[in-house]
Amino acid sequence: MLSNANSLPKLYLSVIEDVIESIRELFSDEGVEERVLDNLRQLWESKVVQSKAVEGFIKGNNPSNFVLQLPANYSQSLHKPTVVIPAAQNMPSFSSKATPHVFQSSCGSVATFSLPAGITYPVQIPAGVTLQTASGHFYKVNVPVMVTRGAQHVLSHPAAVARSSALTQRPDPAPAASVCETPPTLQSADGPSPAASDSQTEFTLDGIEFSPQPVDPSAASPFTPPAQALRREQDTAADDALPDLQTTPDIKLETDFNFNQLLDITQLDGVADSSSDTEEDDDDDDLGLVGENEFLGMINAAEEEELEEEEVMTALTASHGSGLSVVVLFFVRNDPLNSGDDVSEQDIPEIFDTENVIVCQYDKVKEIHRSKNRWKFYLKDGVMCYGGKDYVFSKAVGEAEW
Amino acid sequence: MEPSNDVALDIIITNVVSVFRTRCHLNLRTIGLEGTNVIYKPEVGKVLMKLRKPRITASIWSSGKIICTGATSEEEAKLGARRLARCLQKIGFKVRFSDFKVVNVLAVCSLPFQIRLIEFTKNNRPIASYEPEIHPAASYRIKNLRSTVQVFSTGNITVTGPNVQSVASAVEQIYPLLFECQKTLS
Repeated sequence: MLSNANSLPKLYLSVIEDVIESIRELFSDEGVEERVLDNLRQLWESKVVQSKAVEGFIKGNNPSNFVLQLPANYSQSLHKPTVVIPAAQNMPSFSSKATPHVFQSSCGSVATFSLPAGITYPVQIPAGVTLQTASGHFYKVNVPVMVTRGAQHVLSHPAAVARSSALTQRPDPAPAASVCETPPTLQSADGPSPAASDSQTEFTLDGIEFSPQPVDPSAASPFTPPAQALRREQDTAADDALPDLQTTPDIKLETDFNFNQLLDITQLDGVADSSSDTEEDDDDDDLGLVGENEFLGMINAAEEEELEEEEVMTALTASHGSGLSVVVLFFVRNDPLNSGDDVSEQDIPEIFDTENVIVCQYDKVKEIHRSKNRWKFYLKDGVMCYGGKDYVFSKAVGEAEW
Repeated sequence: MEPSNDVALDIIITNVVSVFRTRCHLNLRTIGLEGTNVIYKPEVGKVLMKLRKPRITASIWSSGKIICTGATSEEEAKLGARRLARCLQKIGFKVRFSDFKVVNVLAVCSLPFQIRLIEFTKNNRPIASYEPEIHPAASYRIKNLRSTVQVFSTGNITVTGPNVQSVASAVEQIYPLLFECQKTLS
């Protein structure tokens, strides 16, 4: 469950992210202020936290101790999962580093996100850098990180943030406009870590240059697509003189995840008992209705005649179980119809107000051992709220009795 | 050998089958999607709805005909059928509860003695028929009650009839006949 707990907050954050972003335009079209959108977002997040459905949902998690979450398909693109922590100096040229590396820290949740596509990987980002991805998320690098191409993930390593490397930044804002990124702020830890203060931190990024730009998270900042700008910068700049980063504490950590990959990460091992009674498709033979077809045949034939008549028919059904069951039809003169009003009954008590809910898609749901009410569930791609906690799964198998 | 009338036999009703009509067309797919505890079987063209309270299973056809099985008494069957109709009504169909009839009652009874089936069959031709190669029980048809009793050599019998009354009568009727053919060690 550990892995689940770690990636779930990110999953949710990314969901919130996506939704907010996608409706941002709609909102502005309608003439609704950005503030409202932010409000919505805050409300949403606070509700999630309140519900305690997800652990560690705090935005901008504790910097201390991150756990690295590697998506299942990540390793394909990675050659070796080694622990690489760049020294707290300026980056060595990473052009030599052809193979992407994976960071692995001791514990805690990891912030993974994708960088703009235009960057040539691998890219090493020194601490204190504020990055912005194409989707508009801000990241502040507290610790030097290595951005790898493979899964397009950046694994941030919080560690000793304070002693982050010195960053050099390009000073002038003029090219900032043309440069995609304002000094991005990757924050594995929210708030003030010593290095991540307003103080100008510099970073040297080989091939990638950032210009400082006062970041105003509330306003919609104009950013050109990172890719183009980056490329341009790469061409022009060699290394050196990077603009001074001005990190603003306002920038919050927003993680962007490849949703699918996240789903791959979290898997509920073993049997996950489903707590909701969803009986969908079923391929069980119904019991107790042997010879039903013949039975029906009898009914149909009889119905053709007036119901007032008395008719008696017998039909022999197939032998089943403990012997022949003979179905005898006996039609009575029409009873005075009980009109629909009479049908009202006290409702079968609603037992579905339980706290435990699963929302998912199903592969197969079947009944085993017709005589007993035992069911088996093969589920996929779902979210389960159990005991107040949320769990996400891509596959789940369950057994239950009805 | 006189049949004893003092024996209190335990007749246990195991299944009551009933039918009724809703007098309206039912959209099976809607029921399958929105109903609770339903099993949609499009290949057959019916929906099974299982109820917990009286434990019954109902087969629902789009024509509005419903067969209710699994009840343990006639009253329960009716109650369950009504509950079911109520469920359908809640889903939104203009359901009327009409033409309710119990069509079959199945009961079992355990006699305190074993039975010599061949002798029993011989004594009661042609009402009784026994074909051991096909089925291990002898079946005894009571025409006027429209009931059938299946007799096993162990002394267990199953009785099916159109209602509980006829089933009870059938047991009473057949008991003396079975008593005569019991497997005693004399």
